[in-house]
Amino acid sequence: MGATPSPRELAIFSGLTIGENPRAFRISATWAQALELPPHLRLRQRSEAARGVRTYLDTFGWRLHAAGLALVVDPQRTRLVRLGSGETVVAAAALAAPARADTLPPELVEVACLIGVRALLEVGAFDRQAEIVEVANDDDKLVARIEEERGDAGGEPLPGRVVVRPVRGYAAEADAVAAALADAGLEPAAGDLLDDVVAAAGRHPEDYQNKPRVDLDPDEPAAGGLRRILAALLDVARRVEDGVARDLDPEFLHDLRVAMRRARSLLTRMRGVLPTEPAAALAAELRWLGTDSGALRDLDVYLERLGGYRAELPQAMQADIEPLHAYLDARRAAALATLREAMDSPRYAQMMEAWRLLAKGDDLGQRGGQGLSVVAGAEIRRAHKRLVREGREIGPGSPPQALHELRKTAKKLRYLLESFQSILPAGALDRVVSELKRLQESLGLFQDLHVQAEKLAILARAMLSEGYGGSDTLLAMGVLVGHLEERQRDARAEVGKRFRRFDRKAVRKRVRAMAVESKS
Amino acid sequence: MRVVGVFSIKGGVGKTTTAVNLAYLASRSHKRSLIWDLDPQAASTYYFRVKPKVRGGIAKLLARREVDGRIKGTDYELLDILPADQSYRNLDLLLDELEQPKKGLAHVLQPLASEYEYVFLDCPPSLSLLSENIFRAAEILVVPVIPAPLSLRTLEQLDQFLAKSRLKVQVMPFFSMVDRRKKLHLETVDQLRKERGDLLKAEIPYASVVEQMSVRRQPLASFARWTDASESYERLWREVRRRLGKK
Repeated sequence: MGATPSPRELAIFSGLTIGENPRAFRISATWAQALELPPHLRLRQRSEAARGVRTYLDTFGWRLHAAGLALVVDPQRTRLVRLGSGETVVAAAALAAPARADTLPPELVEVACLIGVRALLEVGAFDRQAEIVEVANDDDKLVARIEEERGDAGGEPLPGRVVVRPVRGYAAEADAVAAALADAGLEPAAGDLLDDVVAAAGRHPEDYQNKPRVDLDPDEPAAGGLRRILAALLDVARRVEDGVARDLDPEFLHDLRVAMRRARSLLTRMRGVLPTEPAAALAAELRWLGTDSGALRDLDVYLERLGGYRAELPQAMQADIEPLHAYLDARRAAALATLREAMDSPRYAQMMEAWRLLAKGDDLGQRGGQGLSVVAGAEIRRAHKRLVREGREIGPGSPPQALHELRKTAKKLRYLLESFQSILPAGALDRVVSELKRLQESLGLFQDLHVQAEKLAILARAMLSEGYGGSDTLLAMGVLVGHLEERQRDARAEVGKRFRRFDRKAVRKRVRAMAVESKS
Repeated sequence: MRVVGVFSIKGGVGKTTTAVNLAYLASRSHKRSLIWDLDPQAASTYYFRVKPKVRGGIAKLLARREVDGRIKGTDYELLDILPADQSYRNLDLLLDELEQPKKGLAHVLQPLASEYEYVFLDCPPSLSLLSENIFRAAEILVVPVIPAPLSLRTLEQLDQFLAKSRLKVQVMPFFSMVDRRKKLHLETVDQLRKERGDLLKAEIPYASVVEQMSVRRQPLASFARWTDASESYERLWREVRRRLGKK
């Protein structure tokens, strides 16, 4: 998979402009009668009525919305529109959710880039009735559209609105129409209709972030701060469970696993802040689900990579790898069934309940009364020290397992830094996180290549015994393993380089500063 | 972005109606399209009811000043126009002053590459520096040909010019304003179809409804969709699109 451009980058490369003046008003029954347009403008007789279910699609994490865009699906077609102005950027045939990047029509290439590996899901739908009245100038040229929009979502009527849609190159005329509507006594309406529709579905735009940011107080007792972080992580887990069970998007599972891993890591790192026994019990249960969901996640990653694998093989061998696809699909179906079973079990329900209770309670562990910044600072320093120690011990002869351990330690430090970001000095934090991130990336790549090579070998044996594919497939897989091992050597050298960068005085100084500053 | 020049050395062969209708049909098939009216007579600008005025004139555009703010939306979704302007009369002179006189148009279009799927150039009749710019900016030239000797002669002139200057632009001639009552038209059509394999199959008939366009100031398919003429334009567009193929 190539790097996905950020929404902002994408907006730049696609020439989209973000954020035009919304010209929306709350509906009034008599606006058309009260409206007095300037003499050079008039309402045109020709108007258009539209009726039908309108659906909004976005990723669960609102990637389109964050880029100032919305994907609107009407019975006949799909339009990518700019939030605010409502201008159509591009149109295509009607889409059905869930949709993934590789199934989108070519017109929606921008959308495909924005969503990356995520699926487009329905974020809201309503039964829409709209009337569009055109505003023309002296030449009978269309210069703006006034859209009167009503609808209901789930049987509840939405607040209706009157929206001025500008025509490109005629901004002054659209402004004049908007001013005339305001003069006619219409109240401005904030946001897009999308907001109301999404609210009717019990959500609001950009309400989900897989890395929740919790605003903490450095002086609050450590137990209180930790509880709020745990509550935010629980919220992430709760929101994505349904998506995992319905298998809407592999990213739901990824987010669930990350939330659980973060919670577990914090419980272990911050031992003694919350009552020891329930904290340790929850950490153990989180570990259980982490292990039980690992197989599915691995398979998701594999299936995603298969395209890349194919391309790595000589043309003549490419078809030989197909049985691997069938095999992985079969394994994935089994892994999903196992995970669904686990998530349906009383054990899972008890774990989630224990999580909720721990996040809600008010008992303190022996360190729970200390200031949050003191505890967080100490843990960050400790995690950093361990990372540096482990890193320095690694040499050319160290087994891959040592690098794997280093990666886990780095992750733990990262979780601490991100969880407590709101009470850490921003400058030092950014610098340390950026160095750490680079180190983690190189460790991730190494680990990934190592595991892939190992797994492919195991898969090959398993396929052989289960009757998938023949010797051609095995041969093709052997070629892949060779490639992976070669790349692994380069990756290992990169880890060394990045670690040396991380293990510099400047970084150490900033970690110390963080611990000290967060103390004061 | 695929740039389609609607071009003929001869005037009055149906260039503007072709450019307007093709651009409209492209936008109707969900492709964001732009029509650039390069003719100082501003006929396609007139069809779309836009004022023939470009802020700062063509000189500013060629100096690559913000083409974006000079584009106007038409009455049709996904279809915009870069209008004509009086100053287009001096286009050849202004192009000649550029550092790369033959690439002026292409440079103006460059920033629009990610925004539009199709750009249609409505070109004035001539064989000039502007034409050379068009041959460089466009991927194909759609050339309306009236089945009569004078029109055929100009098509040959175009062939010769392109061959001499070794330009890669693909020429797609088609018969325009075909009057099936005229023996000369029928004979010429038959004759030329035997001679030229590059002729598009679609033929646009001579029809009063096409003339109506200038009264209605709308593309054919928006007011006379089920007429023979309108359907001919749809066939023409399908054929052009197929020949263009995938990039």
